[in-house]
Amino acid sequence: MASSAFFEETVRFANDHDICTVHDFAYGAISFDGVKHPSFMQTKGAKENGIEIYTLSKTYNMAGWRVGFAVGNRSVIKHLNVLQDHQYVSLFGAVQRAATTALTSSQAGVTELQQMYEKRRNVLVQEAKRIGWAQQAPKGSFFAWFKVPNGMSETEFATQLLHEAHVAVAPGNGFGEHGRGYVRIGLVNDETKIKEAMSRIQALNLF
Amino acid sequence: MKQYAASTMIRRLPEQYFSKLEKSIVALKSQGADIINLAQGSPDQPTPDHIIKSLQEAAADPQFHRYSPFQGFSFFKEAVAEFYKDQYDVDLDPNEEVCILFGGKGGLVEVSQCLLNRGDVALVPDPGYPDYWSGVAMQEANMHMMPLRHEHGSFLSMKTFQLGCAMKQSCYSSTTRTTRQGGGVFCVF
Ligand SMILES: Cc1ncc(COP(=O)(O)O)c(C=O)c1O
Repeated sequence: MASSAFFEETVRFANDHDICTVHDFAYGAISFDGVKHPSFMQTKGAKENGIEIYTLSKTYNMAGWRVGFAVGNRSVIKHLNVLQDHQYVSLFGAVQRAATTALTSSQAGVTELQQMYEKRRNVLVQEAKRIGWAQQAPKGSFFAWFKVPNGMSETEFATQLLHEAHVAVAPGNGFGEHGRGYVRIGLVNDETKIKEAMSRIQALNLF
Repeated sequence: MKQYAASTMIRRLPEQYFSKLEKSIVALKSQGADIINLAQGSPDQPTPDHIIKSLQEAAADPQFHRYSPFQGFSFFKEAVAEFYKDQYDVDLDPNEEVCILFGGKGGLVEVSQCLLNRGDVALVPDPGYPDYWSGVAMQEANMHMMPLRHEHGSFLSMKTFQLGCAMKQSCYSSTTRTTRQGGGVFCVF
């Protein structure tokens, strides 16, 4: 999760070097422990220097609908519009209408969703502790990064979990070199499934 | 059947790493294994009813059966501005500062297509969402990775990229290409 201080530093750096900043705000609505993720656009100078990309996929469970938007720097917005003029004629109008409904009606469902993920996060962290798998609680998004035990590679470890525990986790190297040594676990299963998965992993006696 | 060779652009695209994992999961499931999939990132809950109803009603409205305006409907862009005002107290001009996207992924690829030329540098977080890489590859631009390390509180260290950026700039100063003006894209998640 990015802090306002981090964003300020980013704007200063990007401005000094003429670098356009793109903030991916896909998990903007999913933050925990009573803290709300700041928008990059709240930072002084952000709108002049870059853009923020928001999607309805996570905030409103609309991943299959394919709808989002970019906000910020006018020149970048203009270039995006020009490119799209050549690729397609916007989205189906009814999707745009429903997206408008999502953004402008009561946001109570979003709060409930955020609370649901937070409860799952708490269960995951508690269960990890129970089975002796050290883990830092994520402050937002619906993913947690876990360190791979016993000097195994993330691919070996993920393969072992899949074949011997029937639990799929994402090996961290799929996200870049610095993901090595980690696996990524999502919160898109209910609490019972999360507990069951952790018990299956415990049975492998790896910790 | 004739085999048509893919363009070099297609061949430059990074391998979809997780499709392999997906295949193993499908194979195990077809053998009857009860797999708990903690690898996926798709929300498991349904879209709220009032949003579905809104789509259903709009689907029956003939105005939406024609082509949409090129850059989308202004009612949607106005809703975006209203949402940012309510949620973040940010003022946006719906006509000039909002662009409708085919999902976030669409925008992440398009922004690289809009800003990067061959040989330009994009600063990309590592680990990061693999779709950050696709547009950069299409444009034949180069990625310079910004490590996100645990000891940085799982976030970025500006010092690391400042160093990285300074290095890249000194490399590029020996060529005629300028990477500075509008060149770099820098994603954070
Ligand atoms: C970090 C991140 N950014 C962006 C997206 C894009 O989501 P969408 O294309 O559904 O808007 C995702 C979706 O998985 C994501 O995890």
